[in-house]
Amino acid sequence: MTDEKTNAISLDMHRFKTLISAHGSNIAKWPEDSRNWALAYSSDNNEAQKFISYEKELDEVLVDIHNTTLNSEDFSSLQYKIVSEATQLPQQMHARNQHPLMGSSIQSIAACFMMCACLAAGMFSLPYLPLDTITSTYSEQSFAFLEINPLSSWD
Amino acid sequence: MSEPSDEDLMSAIAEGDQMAFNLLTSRHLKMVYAIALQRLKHPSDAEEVAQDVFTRLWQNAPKWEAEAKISTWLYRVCVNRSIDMLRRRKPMTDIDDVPEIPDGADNALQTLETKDRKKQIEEALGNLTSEQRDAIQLVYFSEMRQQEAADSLGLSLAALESLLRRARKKLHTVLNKNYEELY
Repeated sequence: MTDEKTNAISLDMHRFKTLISAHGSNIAKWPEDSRNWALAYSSDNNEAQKFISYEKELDEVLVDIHNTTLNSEDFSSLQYKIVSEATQLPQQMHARNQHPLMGSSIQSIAACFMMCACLAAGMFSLPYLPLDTITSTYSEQSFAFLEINPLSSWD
Repeated sequence: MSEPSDEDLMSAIAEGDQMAFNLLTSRHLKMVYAIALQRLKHPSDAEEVAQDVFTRLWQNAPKWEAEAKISTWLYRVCVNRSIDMLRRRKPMTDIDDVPEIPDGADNALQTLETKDRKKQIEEALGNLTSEQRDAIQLVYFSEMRQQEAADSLGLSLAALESLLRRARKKLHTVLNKNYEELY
């Protein structure tokens, strides 16, 4: 029974050390599923507190460096510059706003089909035109039919 | 009333809302700037990259597909733009711009005594890999959750923890002598 308890304690300490060595002393920034457990475990555990103060030393220096490097006043002016200049630029069009363009493409294709249909209709109607409408000699007519109308043999 | 999410702000930005763009910029500017500065070392270059990243965000907002997290997208664009800038700058790198490598073990004790801890850690941070520095920035100083940070870096959660652990170990060896004893 005592061995089991000792094992559980060492497993918990192992878990705590694994987490604190990666995530640092601020338990609030640890993975969510470990926070409550870590807070409860460390609250009355001297060894855990020792690890927290050890890691806190490094974290404080890191925060200090972070705050010095990233001065808030400099950021306000940089932010103002970014926002004021970027918003002068046009935004790229959304896909749904491109529908009018797509519509015009469809209209163009439809117009092409119409033109092809007109041409085809013209070609089919040629053989049925009365001969007297064509004012040319017989040889010219034959030549014209052969040249223009590929369906002339259907007559 | 709760603060609008990044996704809500992006929807507003897509409609040309400048206030939403201002809020989103204030939320993520420090992270973007810090990541760029870590790689480029020059504040003016880091500012240029940050400006470029947010300008792209503004311009592309109407085409935003909401498949990725904003912070992840910002991180990736920032890293790519920083790499582009480094490539452009490489032939012109001045020898004075190359970060100083800390002394060896000979006078390590003396260095520890004479330089303050902050300076030491700053130097140690400079000697971490860019991936380790990014992990520290994203996990400790941005609003990202661990899983988001891992996704941004293209790592599993376990790999991110391992990366952070190695980084902290390196930094601890500058501050303390007894890391191995304690762990």
